Amino acid sequence: MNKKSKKTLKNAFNIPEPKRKDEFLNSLPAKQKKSFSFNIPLYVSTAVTAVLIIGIWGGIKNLPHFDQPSNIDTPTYSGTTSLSEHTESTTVQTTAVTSTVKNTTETSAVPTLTTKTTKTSGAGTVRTETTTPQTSTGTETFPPKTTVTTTKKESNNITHKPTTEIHTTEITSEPETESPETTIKTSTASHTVTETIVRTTVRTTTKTTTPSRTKTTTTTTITTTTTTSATETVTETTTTTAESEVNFVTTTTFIDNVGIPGNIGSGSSQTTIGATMDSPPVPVTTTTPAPPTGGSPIRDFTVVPAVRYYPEGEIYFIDSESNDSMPPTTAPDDTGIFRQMTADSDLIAIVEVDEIIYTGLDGVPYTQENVTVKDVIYGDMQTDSRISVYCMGGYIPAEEYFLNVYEENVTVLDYAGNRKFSEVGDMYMCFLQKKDGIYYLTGLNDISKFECQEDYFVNFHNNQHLTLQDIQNFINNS
Amino acid sequence: MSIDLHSQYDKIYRYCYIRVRNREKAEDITQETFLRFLEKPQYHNQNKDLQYLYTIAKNLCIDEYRRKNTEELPEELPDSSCNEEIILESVALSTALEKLSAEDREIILLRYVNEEPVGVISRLYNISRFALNRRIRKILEFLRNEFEREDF
Repeated sequence: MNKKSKKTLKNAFNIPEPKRKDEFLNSLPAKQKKSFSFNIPLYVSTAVTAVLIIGIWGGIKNLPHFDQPSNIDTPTYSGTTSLSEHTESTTVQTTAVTSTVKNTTETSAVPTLTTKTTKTSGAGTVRTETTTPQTSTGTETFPPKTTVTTTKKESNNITHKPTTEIHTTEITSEPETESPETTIKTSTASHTVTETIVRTTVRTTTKTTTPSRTKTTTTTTITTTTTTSATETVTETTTTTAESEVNFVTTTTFIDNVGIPGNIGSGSSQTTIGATMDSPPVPVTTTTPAPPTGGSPIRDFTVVPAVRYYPEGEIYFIDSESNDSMPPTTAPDDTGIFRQMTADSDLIAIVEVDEIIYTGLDGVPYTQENVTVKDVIYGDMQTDSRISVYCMGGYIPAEEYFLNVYEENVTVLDYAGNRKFSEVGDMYMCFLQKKDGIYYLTGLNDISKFECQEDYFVNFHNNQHLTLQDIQNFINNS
Repeated sequence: MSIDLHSQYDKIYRYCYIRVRNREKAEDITQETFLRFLEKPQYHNQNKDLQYLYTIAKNLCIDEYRRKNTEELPEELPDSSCNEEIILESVALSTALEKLSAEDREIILLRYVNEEPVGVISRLYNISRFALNRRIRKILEFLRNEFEREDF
């Protein structure tokens, strides 16, 4: 507000000047007068900060830099996978089983990703198909994929890996069997194989029921691999997902090998060709993130603000960070504020800032942070999704903030109680409320943000600590 | 140092005056506020001094209001050194201010005349910062509409 406006407003209140002010102030002991000296260092520090910021802004035309602790660049956290243990029940539907056929051949010990087809006769072939759902560390997701490998024959024809399911199928077909589609040969030279038709359908169906606060996800992946020529392998993968709103999905997968010439297997029964099963199929349990809908690994829920502001001209500071700061403490939260914050939140997640936009709502400055969700602690959201997070405070032109009473070319920086603002690349844990499709910090400012330490989270605003277990307890008790 | 004390005194005095509408009483309350603040070391918190001062002043004003439920007209006219334009604007704005509720007038005074942080004001009135900002916005819109309605 310029001086003229201040004077106008002050006069409008018609407040007379005090008459006994000097008398009272002079009567105060000098010692008591010193008690008001606290303001001087505060104002001096604020003025120095303002000068530095303006100088930096004028010199390099960059946004103001806010000090960040070194560990925020390399946050670590643990316990994310433990949330899967909180799944109350898991129902897995499997639709297929493997079938193995005895044969006397040996296969190559070297797994390959290519298949060769020839027309041969003699001993059976060994063909291995693998379906490899990826195990996520919580930061990346991959859609399931199918590879074809040849492996050394196992006694039970099944090879297991922590993240890869491999079922080895040996098929002995009738000699001279031929189909227009498939012939597969192993890569050894010590035997001959008969030509055979192999059509394998891999069907993975997963279903996970989670605690009542999250939704059920059903994912169905149907992969059909058909070998059509001597040198060409055609793989068709169809992935359909009904819902994919859960972080971790426990799956049990069987591979349905339907190696019947000319038949399309139902996938629900074992089918062999004139052979017996060596051993029943063994389920392999993996933990994998639910694949995203639509086949795309990233979902973008960011919004475009109606207005976008840029800091320029003179910067006028309002509510500098120290005004509302609580004294730092490393003690655990004993005020109940975070318990209440948990109850009020729709989403609790670890995010990384991709973009910062200064905007406003009804004259109140907000900072919109477009972030990528790195991990979800609570709520309906997928990792690697992008959302917009609104935090109160930021830059706004003075004429928007104070209804034309400011001078031109003045930008207001309203801290709105924040001790510091985030920057692009920062990673933090936050409590969010969703209103009209937009996520707001539950406490409106950085009281809702936490730095990620190895075993706990540290609040931006008051340095209080929270652990993942604390948050889980709040969720369970709310 | 003395500048700060003078500034704080003026702010508290203005706040008390718009509540009790009497200069003498306002000064008495202002001085009592400072004396009570200085007597209690536990109030001397670097981050909450303003909050305590206003809270003490508010409580004393409430006590005074209960003792004597009367309002008096201001004793002095606006500063005669103002030019005519400012005087006219002040009158128009003053009329608009009178149409506000007492609490809204206090909020405007604290925010734009005393220039207190939003956080201090929001805690003083026990409302959220967001709610306070919205309220200030509405008050300013009302004042502007009322001000433009005057034939100047």
